[in-house]
Amino acid sequence: MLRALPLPLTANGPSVPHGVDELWPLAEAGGKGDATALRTLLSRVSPTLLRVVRRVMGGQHPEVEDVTQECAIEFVRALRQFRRESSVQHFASRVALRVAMNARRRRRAAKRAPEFPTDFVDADEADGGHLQPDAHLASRTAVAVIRNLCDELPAAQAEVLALHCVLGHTMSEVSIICGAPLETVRSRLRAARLALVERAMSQPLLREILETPP
Amino acid sequence: MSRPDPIALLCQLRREAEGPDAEPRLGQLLASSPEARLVQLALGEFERESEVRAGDEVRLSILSEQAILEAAEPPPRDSHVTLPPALSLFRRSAKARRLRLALAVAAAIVVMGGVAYGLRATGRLLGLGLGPATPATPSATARTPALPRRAASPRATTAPREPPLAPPPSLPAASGAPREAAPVARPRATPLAAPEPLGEPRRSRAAALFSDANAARRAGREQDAAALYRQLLLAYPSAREAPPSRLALAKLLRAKNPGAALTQFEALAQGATPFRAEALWGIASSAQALGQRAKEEQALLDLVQEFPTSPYASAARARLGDDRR
Repeated sequence: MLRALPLPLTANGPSVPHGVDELWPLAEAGGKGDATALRTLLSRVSPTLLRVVRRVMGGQHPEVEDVTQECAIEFVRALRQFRRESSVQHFASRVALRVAMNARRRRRAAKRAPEFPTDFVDADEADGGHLQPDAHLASRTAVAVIRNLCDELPAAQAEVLALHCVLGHTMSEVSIICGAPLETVRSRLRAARLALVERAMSQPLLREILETPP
Repeated sequence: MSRPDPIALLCQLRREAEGPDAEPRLGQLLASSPEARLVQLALGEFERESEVRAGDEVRLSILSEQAILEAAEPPPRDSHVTLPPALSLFRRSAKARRLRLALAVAAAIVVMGGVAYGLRATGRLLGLGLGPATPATPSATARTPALPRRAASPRATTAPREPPLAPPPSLPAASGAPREAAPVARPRATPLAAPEPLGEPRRSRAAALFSDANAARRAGREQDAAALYRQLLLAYPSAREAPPSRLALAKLLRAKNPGAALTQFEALAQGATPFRAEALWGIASSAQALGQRAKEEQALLDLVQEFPTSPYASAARARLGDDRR
């Protein structure tokens, strides 16, 4: 059964040294309800929220704006519980990731068909850009496989997989963002990776890439 | 020591791409690890999908402002009532908020209808002439046939119809209905019979216009978007959507018509607006495009003085420094 990822975030992982993040004072003031601080803070973190939502939902997904707004609301509300255990940008990134993944899971749980296919490749798109059409198709397929897998994996594994494979964070960053020990993150990633390879091997185009070194 | 995970190593090497030996190591990793090839392929596509696009700046300012307004409402999880997880999930969705709004509107309609019916009954009892049986201005009813018909109910065919009444002062004068001949015998009915159609309150019409304008802007129909933003500003100057609409309109106008954009930015900067920093920055940019150096410098100085910690302030300081050099 699909379950929503928990909010708010109360991590107890490795901490970021104090005085490193210039956004901490703004986050603290924002958490106390200072509207000016919130506005400035959101002007700094909202590009991160939008970027994460576009990556998780798809750049052309019709709900990107709605979900980004939901992320901003959750971020502002979660600031009250922010305990400087990571940078503000990482915190925002995790909030956005969870809200966006929940939005995808809700859609799946409601068994709603997408308004239009978001993971398709049309002729014009495949023809344009700097990638060859087959490479473009393969990359779109890889993206679709990872997104679907993130919808279906247990929440903890899905989060680690998304932080790595969707947002491109390093292992130590994932450990800080999730507030989990490095070994735990490593073990979650290992389990998610096995599922990813299995899923990719079922796609002929991706199997070819997996089996053929460049 | 255990072998590093290829995906973790890939993320690390992508991050260190500027390093001297990162590229050959990345090549080796991609040659040896199928998973790394797969994730490398996907990460490139994710990056393309999340590239910054035209209009993101306006989109994000509007979203941020709405988020601050919405987050200012008391968060449900701070309340003493703990909802089950399924409901708390529902509570967080944007659609749930829209549903709550629709329910509130429906409840308001029911209450207003009940009060109107009660007043009419009371008026009849007291002989105040609230129906066409004692018309104060018979011609007024004839001039505005559309207003009462909107509230069509089974009762409407048999019960006397409400005569036209004046709109609340905040509504624009161009709503079409004549305003004269307000009967003196029914002062208490005024707030109950505003000329807005039932079920379509002022707030939702402004929101709908705002939403349409945003959709047009996102679709690249800039002229349509500008027209809709203008319509919203004209019809609902005090709506919550007005300041972000003015900002969006000003930004749409900036490239092709800096004079008009300057007017909008200046209007936005007036009074207590949440977008004053953005407005000052817009004034400076538009004034620069128009060659109005004094106005540009004044806006930058105001920006630095009023919003010293804003992201605009450092850029403003840099521009002031350049200008004075």
